[in-house]
Amino acid sequence: MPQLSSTISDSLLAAAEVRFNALVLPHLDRMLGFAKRRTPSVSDAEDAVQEACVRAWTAFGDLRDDTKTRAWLYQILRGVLSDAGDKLVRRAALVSMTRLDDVHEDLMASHTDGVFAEVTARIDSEQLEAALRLIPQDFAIAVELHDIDGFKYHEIAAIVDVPLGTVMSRIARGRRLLAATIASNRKLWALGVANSATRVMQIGSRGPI
Amino acid sequence: MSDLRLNITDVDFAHDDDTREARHELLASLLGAYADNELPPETRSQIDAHFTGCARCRRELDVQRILRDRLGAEPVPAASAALRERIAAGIKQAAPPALAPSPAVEGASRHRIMRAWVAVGALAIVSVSVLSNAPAWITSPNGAATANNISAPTNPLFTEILANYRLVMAGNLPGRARDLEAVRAAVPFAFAPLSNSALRLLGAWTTSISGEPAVVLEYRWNDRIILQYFVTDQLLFQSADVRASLAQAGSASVTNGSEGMLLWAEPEYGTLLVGNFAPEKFATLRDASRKH
Repeated sequence: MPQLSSTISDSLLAAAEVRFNALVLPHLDRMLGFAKRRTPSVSDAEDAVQEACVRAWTAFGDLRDDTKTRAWLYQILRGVLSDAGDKLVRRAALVSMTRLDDVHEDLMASHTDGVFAEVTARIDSEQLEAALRLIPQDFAIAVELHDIDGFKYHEIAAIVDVPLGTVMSRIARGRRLLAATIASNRKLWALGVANSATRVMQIGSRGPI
Repeated sequence: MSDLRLNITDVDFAHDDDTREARHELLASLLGAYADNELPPETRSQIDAHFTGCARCRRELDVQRILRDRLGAEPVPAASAALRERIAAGIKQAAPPALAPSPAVEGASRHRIMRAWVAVGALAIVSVSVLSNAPAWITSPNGAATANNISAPTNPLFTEILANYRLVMAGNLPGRARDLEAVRAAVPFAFAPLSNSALRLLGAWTTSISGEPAVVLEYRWNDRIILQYFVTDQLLFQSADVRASLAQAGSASVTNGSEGMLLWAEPEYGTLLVGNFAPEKFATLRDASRKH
């Protein structure tokens, strides 16, 4: 009898593992990208993704709707990164939101068709990630989850556990702050100064694009 | 998850007598959602009307779209083989998920648990004798199951559906039924729920069985919950045992303790009822539903 019990348990566990792999593994790449943007190194990001997957496996019984797998995984990954706190999470020194708002107003006042698009198209991934790290994390996460990871607003609301209206305003405001950050740093980036965003914004460079 | 419908009742452009600056601030908070097509049509129309005379808001919308498109072009890093191996190893070492039957399924009484294991043991003995000969799932042509049931773990389809059923039943059910049309749109076959006045459809959702898309319907029947799984033809006919049983008898059934399962083929898909009922009861339910 114990042997039969063991056989049944093993079979159910094996079936669950097959289902887990089918549902979870396709999302590893994007989870890694999300973790990389908020950790100091690739190995830290990989540690976070691994821990998230282990937690997901242990809590696999909580997943009731397969269509929500990806949002559920991101919720867990956010929990892992949050638990790691200062040990793992990388944030640059934030710049003043008021200052970024001022820069954005200048950008709007001086915007001419195509210029900002050209600037944005020219910046590389490292510069874009540097800019994302300069804006408050709540805004950056909402923008990234939508624009990079492709979540709908209602999914983001579930992942970050805030009302839909808050997601809406965070995405709009986050992009405005990001635009201001890019506008403020574009000259140094154009000169090939690597990872200059933090320094530039801290010294208060400001002005129309 | 809470109700996430949009509720922008405070945006009333027609009667807005705030300052121009305040109106722009309000609009600015909506332009991201406008660019992402996440606003209800009536709000979009109001913003469209505002754009006509407001170059500043049009520029703001441009910036929202430019950044969205640039971020959307960011490359996605590939998880290394080493990371995948680490994850697989970590899962092997981690505590397994809760796969045991829920208290509702298993029953609170230790006697019931013991009876279930005795039943499983008896089934195992039957299985050993049956497996050495013919296909194990044999039902009569009219759908009434015979005694030739075996324990589920010998067939991958039954095993995986039983595991999925137990996962669902082990916790809170997914909740209110999703729109059946939305669920239908997610799978490559046009399934039809059972039609029977004794059944009440409570929920519908998609899942995957062996990597194939599947649908689950949740019914209330005789004050208990039963689930109906819909699977693709490919999955239905994958196993030689199931193929033989379907060819001979038109259905296949499994009993595992207090849990029963009945599988049959419909023209476009396969479907399986699972719950705390004997397969014979499911066959009766299926036949009655076909008459409706």
